[in-house]
Amino acid sequence: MLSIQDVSVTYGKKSEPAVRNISFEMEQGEIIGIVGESGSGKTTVIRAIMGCLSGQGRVSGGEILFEGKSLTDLSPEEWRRLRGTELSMIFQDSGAMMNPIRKIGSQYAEYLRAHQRMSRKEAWDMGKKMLERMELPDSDRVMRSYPFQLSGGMRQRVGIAMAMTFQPKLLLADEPTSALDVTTQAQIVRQMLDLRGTYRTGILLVTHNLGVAAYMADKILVMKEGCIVEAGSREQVLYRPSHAYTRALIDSVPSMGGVRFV
Amino acid sequence: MSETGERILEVKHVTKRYPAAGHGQLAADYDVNLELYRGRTLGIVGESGCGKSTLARMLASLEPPTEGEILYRGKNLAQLKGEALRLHRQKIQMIFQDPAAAFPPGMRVMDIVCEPLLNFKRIRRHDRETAAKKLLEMVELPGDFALRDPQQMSGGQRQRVGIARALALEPEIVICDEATSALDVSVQKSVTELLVRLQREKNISYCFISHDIALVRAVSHEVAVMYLGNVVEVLPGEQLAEGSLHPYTRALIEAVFDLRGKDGGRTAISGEASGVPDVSEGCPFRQRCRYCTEVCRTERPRLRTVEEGHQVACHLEFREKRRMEKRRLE
Repeated sequence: MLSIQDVSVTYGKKSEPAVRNISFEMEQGEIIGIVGESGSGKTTVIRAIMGCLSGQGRVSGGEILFEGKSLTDLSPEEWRRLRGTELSMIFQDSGAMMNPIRKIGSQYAEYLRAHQRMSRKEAWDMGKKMLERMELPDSDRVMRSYPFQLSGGMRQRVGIAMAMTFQPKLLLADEPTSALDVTTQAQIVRQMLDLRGTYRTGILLVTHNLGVAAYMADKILVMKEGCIVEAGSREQVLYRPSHAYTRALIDSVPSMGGVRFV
Repeated sequence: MSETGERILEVKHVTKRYPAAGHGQLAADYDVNLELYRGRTLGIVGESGCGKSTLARMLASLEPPTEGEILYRGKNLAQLKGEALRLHRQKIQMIFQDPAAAFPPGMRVMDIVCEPLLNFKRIRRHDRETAAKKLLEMVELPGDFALRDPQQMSGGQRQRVGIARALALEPEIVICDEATSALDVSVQKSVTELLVRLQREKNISYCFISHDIALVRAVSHEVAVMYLGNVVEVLPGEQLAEGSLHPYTRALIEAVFDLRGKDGGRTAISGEASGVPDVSEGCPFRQRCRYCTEVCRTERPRLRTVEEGHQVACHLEFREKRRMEKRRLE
C-alpha cells in the first residue's frame, strides 16, 4: 500500500538532509511504529508522506508510492482529493488543528461536505455517528461545543473521529497520545486498535513512547539522527534488538517491574 | 517509614482553595497530610489537575495554604515573613520542568548558577567563575559551559544547570516538579541517576512530583498517589507495583504500557478526571471506580493505616483481606 524508497528530506538551503535514505514498506491494515528521540526526524518522515513539510522542507531524493502512485509530484488538486479521504492525519493536540472560534459540529460538517456531496443535515448526522463510534458520550453536546470546552482526551477523540470518517487506507498519527493523561492514553490506544480492526486502516504511528509503540505496532522502526537504525517486527526490535542504540533506548524506559534507583 | 530518622517536613491537614467562577471555590488540594524524611524521596504521582503542582508551590513557600500547616523542622512556614522567609528559602529549593522558562533570557550559565550564592553572600562577585565551574562539575557538565548561553544548550544540559542552581545553596529539601518530564528517555535516565547520586552524597530530601508512575516508583522511598486534590494512597516505593491497594493506583499502574510486562494499557477505568475537584461528600474517585458502592457516594474515605507505612483512603476492605490471605499462603 505504501512504499517509501530511499527517501531523503532536506530543509531550506542546507546541504545536509534532515532525513537520509529511508526505506520501508507498509501493507493494508498494518501498524508501523516509528520511535526515536526528539530531533531524530520521525515527524519529518510522516510529514513528507502527507506532503506537508513545514518551512522550506522538500523531498530531496527517493520515491514515496501510495497504492503505486507517486506522492512526490502531485498537483494541489490531486492532493486535495487524497488528503482527508484516503490519507488522513492526527496530531498531538487535535484542538490545535481546529478553528477555536467555530463549533465542532460546523467544522466537522464542513470537512465532510468538502469531500462528499451531502446536505448539512446528513453531514451533521454522519459526524455524530462517528463521535459515538469513538465512545464520546452526549455527541450532540460535543457537536455544539467549541474546542476549548472539551478536555484534551475528548478533543483527541474528535480528531480521530474526523480522520477516520472516510475510512482512510492510511492514517498518519503524530504523537497521538503524548499530551494525554495515562489513563486516557490507554483508552485512546485501545480505540485506535479497534478502529484498525474494523476498517483495516494502516496506521503509521510516530511516538517517543516506546511502550505505546510496543503495544500497538506490528513493526517498529527506530530512528536516530535522520536514519533508521533498526527495523523489524515488534518482537525482534523489543526482545532481540541488534543495535546498541535500540538497547539503550529500551533500557531507559522506566518500568513497573524494572530497576529502582533507591 | 519512621525508622529512617529525622522528619524534616510535615504537611498537616493542608487545603488549598481557589476562587472559582460561578461556583464559589474549588479545592486544588484537600486535607493533605504528608511527611518527608532526611535523605529520602517522597514521590507524588497523579494525573493533570490532581493538585500535585499546587502542593509543590506550597512546599516551596510560593503560595500559602488556605487551611492547615506545613512544618519545616517544627516551624510553621506560613508564619515566616520578610527576612526570615528569605533566609528560609535557602533550605527548600525547586527544580522545574522547563528550566529554559525559569532562566531569565540573556543570563549566562555562570550568572544563573551563582545568583543564589550572591544573593545570600556566600561568595564574592569575582569568585563567580570558580564557583560556577565547581557546580557544573557536580552536575557532570564541562566547566567551560560557565560562559555559555543556556539557549544554545540541549534540554538535558539545561536541566543540569537547573539542578546546579537549585543545589548551589546546599538545601535540605529539593522539590522536583516534573523535572524530567520534558526530556527524552535516555536523557531522563541520566538526569535521574544524577539526582539520585547527589541525594546519596549530600543527604538531600526530594519531593519528586511526576505523572509517570513507573518513574516515581524507580526513584521514591515513599510514594503518595493523588487524585483530584486528595491523597488516596501512601506506601513505600518498593511496594507500589505489587502491594498497592487503591483502585485508582491500580488503574494508573495498569495504564502503563510496559515494555517488560506481558501486557500494559489494559486500563479498566473509563472517563477522565475532568471537572472541578468537589469537596462535597463521597469518594473523589467514585465516578470512575468499578467497585463504587453506596457508602462511596455518601462518605468521603479517610486515609487509614493498612500496615506500617502504608495508608489507603478507600472504603473497600476486601482488597486488603485478599492481600493478607495471599501473604499467609506464602
